[in-house]
Amino acid sequence: MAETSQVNITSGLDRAGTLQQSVSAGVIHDKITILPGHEPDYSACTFCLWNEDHTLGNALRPDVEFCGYSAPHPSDPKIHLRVQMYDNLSAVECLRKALKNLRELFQSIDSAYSKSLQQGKYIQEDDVDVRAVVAETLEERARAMDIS
Amino acid sequence: MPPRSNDDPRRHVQILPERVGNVSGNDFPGHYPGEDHSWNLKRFKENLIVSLQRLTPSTLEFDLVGVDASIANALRRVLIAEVPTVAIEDVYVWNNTSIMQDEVLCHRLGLVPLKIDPREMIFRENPNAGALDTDTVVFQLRVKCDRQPGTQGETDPKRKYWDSDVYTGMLEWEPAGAQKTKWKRKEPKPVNPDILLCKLRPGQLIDLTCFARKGTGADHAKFSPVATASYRLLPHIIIRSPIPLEHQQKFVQSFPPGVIGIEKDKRGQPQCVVKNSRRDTVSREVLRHAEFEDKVQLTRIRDHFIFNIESVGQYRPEDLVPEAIKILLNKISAVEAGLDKLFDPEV
Repeated sequence: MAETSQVNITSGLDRAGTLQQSVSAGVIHDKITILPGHEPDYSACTFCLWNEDHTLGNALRPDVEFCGYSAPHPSDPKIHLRVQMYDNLSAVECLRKALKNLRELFQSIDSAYSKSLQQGKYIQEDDVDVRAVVAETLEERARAMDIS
Repeated sequence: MPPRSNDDPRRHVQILPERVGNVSGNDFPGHYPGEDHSWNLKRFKENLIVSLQRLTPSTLEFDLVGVDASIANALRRVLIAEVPTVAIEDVYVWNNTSIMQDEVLCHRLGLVPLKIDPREMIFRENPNAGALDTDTVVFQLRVKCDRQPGTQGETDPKRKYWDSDVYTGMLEWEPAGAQKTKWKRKEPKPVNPDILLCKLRPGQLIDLTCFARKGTGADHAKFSPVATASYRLLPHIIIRSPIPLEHQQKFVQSFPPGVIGIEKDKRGQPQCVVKNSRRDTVSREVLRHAEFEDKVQLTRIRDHFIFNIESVGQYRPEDLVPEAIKILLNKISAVEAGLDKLFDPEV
């Protein structure tokens, strides 16, 4: 009975702490957690993203008072993303917006790429025939030797 | 809005004799007073250029213009380490009497690129569970070296022996389950049949079974689908004042062939002009000569990335970028789903 009531009062804030503990215990972790010590209104948070690295960390820096990321240790497959907002806005909403923008960005790159591929206005040629180049070089060298 | 010019100094990374300057991006909010640089999809799309330059059966060169370095770098990193391919992971050596140790031979087998479409296979979820026809491809390698009869006095091993050289082409695919019908016209095989794996002498033999699975370059470089995936910034050369006639030939020779040309101006005077800055290697040779001081400025365009991708053979080179973008989009969705879960544990 006591256990169920405890679950009921667990807010997102406390849940972040619980998840952090479960991680250190070696339990399968959630994709994203909020590290302890964030502002109660989520205006400044450090997110912890599991199984991500510089690839996503560097691409994902929303425009705010402060934003940065770090990889705490190269052996840990995680990154910490710090977001601090002006005017007590929600850093979580900001991250959602940043993710949405990033998706739109990559989708536009994707469509621009396929458009360029379809247009076919590029040089199409065969690979360099390494064997032929080597043979030619050797021949040239032999000729140079003969002359000298 | 007029198209952005390569002459806009805000887009220039300066190349100075001893250092590079203005490296960091400046198109973010609050950098220039009174200018709005916040994210705007419409503006981004207007400035974005993706244009393929050169395509061969194994390589691709394309320009990506109008993005931040972090985006270009994310694309490069995903191409190298996160686009999956299929490679040999487990080798069961039944017999190996060659001079090559089992573990060395197995390592070499692991590095062999395999022509299998990774999109038609799934990741093996539990490495301890049994192999399935959806996540594993099996190859057999059985080679025995013998003396060819009637070759007394012969010194060339290729004519003296049978199968003295073991090539990747000798790997034989062993279909399992539904694989035979699934890959009827595109049978799994090594990309290059002529990679030398090992050498044998009469009486020596190799008998082994290989299990190939899907993996990513982050786990092991053998899974990387690219031989190279790199980008460089477009060089941009600015000739500030005319080069005197007597120095023109030297100026042209300070750059790789085709970068600088000599053309007649309106008054019929020969002048140095930038023909094709893309071919410049940015050797900075021109900055070593006192006669060209203040006459030329070397720069690169900060948001013009020239990508060079060379496929190993599992994917066609033009398919790699869409695959990489797909993986990046999946990453974004995974984080979004994680956020949903964090704030609504019921989901």
